[in-house]
Amino acid sequence: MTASAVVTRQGATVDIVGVSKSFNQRSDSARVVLRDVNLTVRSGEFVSIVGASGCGKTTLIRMVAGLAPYSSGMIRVGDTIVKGVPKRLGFVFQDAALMPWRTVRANVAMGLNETGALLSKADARTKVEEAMGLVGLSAFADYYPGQLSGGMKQRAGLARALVSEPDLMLMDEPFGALDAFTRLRLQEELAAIVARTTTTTMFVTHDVDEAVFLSDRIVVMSTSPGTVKDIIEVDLPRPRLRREGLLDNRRAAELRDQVLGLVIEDQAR
Amino acid sequence: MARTIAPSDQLVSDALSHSLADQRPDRAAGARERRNRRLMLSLPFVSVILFLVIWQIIGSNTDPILLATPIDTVKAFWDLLSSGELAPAFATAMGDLAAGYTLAMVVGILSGVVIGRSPVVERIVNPYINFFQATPLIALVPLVVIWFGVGFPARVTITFMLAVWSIVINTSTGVKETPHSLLDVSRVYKLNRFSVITKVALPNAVPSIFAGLRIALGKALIGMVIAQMEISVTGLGGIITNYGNAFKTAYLLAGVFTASLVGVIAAALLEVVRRWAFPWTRDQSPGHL
Repeated sequence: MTASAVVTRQGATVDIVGVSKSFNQRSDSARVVLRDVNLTVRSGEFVSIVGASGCGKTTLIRMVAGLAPYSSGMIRVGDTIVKGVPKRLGFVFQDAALMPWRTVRANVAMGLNETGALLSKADARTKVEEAMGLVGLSAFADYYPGQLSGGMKQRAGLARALVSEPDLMLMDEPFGALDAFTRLRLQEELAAIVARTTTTTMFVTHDVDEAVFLSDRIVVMSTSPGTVKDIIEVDLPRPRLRREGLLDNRRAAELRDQVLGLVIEDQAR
Repeated sequence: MARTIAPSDQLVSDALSHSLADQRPDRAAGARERRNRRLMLSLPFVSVILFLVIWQIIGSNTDPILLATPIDTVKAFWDLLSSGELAPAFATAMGDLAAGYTLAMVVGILSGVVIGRSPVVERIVNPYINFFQATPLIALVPLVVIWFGVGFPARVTITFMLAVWSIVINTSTGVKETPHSLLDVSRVYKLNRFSVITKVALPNAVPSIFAGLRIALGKALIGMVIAQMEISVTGLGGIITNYGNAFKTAYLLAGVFTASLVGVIAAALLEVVRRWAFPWTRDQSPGHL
């Protein structure tokens, strides 16, 4: 998050080409979760993936992260085909997934495990402090996760993902379990943070307002089997601030209705 | 975020105290509640004192060979202490326990980690764990004597043998139950196999391991006392056996209570270690203990 890093680093591109995924329940009958998914995410872009539950959006993002294998097709992050976990990846999990036995500071420092070997101890410490400052957790650095609220845990998870200045950030319904006010606030903070970095972001959510507020593009997925139904360009100017009336913005309302319409249409099928 | 919540809490408690002041019967109810709580806190002490009194009354009307009174037991305790018989017995007991229990801890945790991480190893050793869990291990005392004689090694073996299984089982369960999300985290941030164990699986198992250590401590105590009674006739078990054979019931009971003291001290040490070394477990309930 230093100025030089912002200049030199560039967000990764993501190419998902003809990807399918099926779980083998029995050898003879396989359940198809994703069929022929095609999607290209540009460097530095913020793309949300929405869809009814069961459309495979979490599976898709886990496959991009190298956490789940895909049955056919190809996923490429930057110029490397995904086999294991890609380099310089940040992942924010649904339930924060912090280590209860580590303080906030030590949890955030875990994000430097891959790249930290290149840093001096002092530099690593500075980066951890910066990341905690970025998400407003500096005062809670020595707390254990068990002592934090849900929103603060998720901030720590975000700081852990940001600390290595990732080329690609994957977020799996990170605000889904939070109360409405905390969620709105974290959305605004996330938008501000992402605007200051060059990272590419893929964001899974079932909250259409959230997707409209944060994204450059929204990928709507259909269910059984999951595939890309439509991709909506969010042509709202940035920065988008709720207190300046984004919620009343007619274009935002139109986009939300359009996305919701697509999801509902799919469910009615 | 905590700061923004505090003022509203203040408001709520202000409102609450106002309404209490307005309604006098409520204040009386508060006083009654406090009195009830004091009563509840004092109940264990009352219970123990009452028990000792009843024991004293029954004991003083019974043949002292069948039942010694609490006062006689305390006198016997003092006698054992001042004659210099108790201290070495206590030391032997603590030594046997420390050796056998520490061995069980090291072996139990190491093998528990291996079993918890490797489904293959788990399947291979499962029959033996089930066998030793089902076997009354005390029945193996004669075999242990044949193998190790009647000295310190035999006593340590029996203490170890009784204690190790709960540690193995609880460690492997705790390691096996590492949440998938934490394993995902360790993959995303590229921890190597060794770090996954030391930084994720093992810390995750700590509460479960300590629960196992508590159970194992009770079993180790049993093993230690039995070994001292039946094999070497030494230490606290020796005092209990010897005075039992001499029908000196008060001295026997003094030995028994010293053995429970060993248990209490060891359990307290374990708890101190847990709080000092694993401060993050403080906020967690000790579970089913």
